[in-house]
Amino acid sequence: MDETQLIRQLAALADKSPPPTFDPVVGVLGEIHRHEPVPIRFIGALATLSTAAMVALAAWTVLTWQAFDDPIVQMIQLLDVIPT
Amino acid sequence: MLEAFLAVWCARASGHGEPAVQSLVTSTTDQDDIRASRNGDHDAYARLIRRYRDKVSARMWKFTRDRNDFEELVHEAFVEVYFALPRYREMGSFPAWLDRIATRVGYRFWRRKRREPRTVPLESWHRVDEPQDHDPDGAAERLHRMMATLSPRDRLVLTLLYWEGFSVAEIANQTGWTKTLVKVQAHRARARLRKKLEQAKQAAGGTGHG
Repeated sequence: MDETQLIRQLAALADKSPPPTFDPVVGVLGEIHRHEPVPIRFIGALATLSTAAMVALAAWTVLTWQAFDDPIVQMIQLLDVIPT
Repeated sequence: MLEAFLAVWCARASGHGEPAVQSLVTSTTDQDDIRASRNGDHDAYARLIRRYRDKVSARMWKFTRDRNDFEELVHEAFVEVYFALPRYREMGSFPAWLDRIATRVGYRFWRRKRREPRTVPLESWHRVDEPQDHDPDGAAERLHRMMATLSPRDRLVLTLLYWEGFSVAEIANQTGWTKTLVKVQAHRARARLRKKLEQAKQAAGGTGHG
């Protein structure tokens, strides 16, 4: 028997032994999650938050402007109250 | 459109119908899951893993019979596939691409193992020439021990050629070697294995085991 026949014969036999059952899903997804480029998501979340903050600030400014005749004057008046 | 044409063409050319089509064309389900996985959808990638874990497991079982190493290899292959997904071209066959990565992972494993000191004495696998006991695990064990005496390159080409039954062109595709290199490598690997077998027989005869 030459070496190629030997490999084929052993391989044919070996193929009758199936691989063990193994579910890699949890482990693989866990490792992927650890290695995933987090900054992209993080930067996205940060951008959303800062946009929301800017919108809120703008809304507050507009509302304040409407509530008082002149917010700067109001602020000076408030500061006058504070004893120096 | 092109996929549909390829499917019909493959079916006609092969005369085998569905299996040939499956091997060359990535299914729509796969494509949807691949696209979703690229966008970070882990559920989609879990579906891909479940669809192909048997295929990858069968391949990795040829690279090692050690249960821990086997699980590590399957794991490593799927992690590598995920991070390689952005480079996957959808015109190619996904199963074939997966095979290439799995082969690469297995080959790397053999190279790592090769650097570790070997403890298998030459005469301990001399019975590889007598695979008549019809024990699958025993045969696999002997085959692995015999192949482990070769270099990872020799082992890879012989495994793919005579165990997996791939053609020279398929091996070239999987390894990135040229067809000529595959043929030369196979020829040299056979010669080296023949020499090792003769040495093993002599060693076994010399120690009174033959």
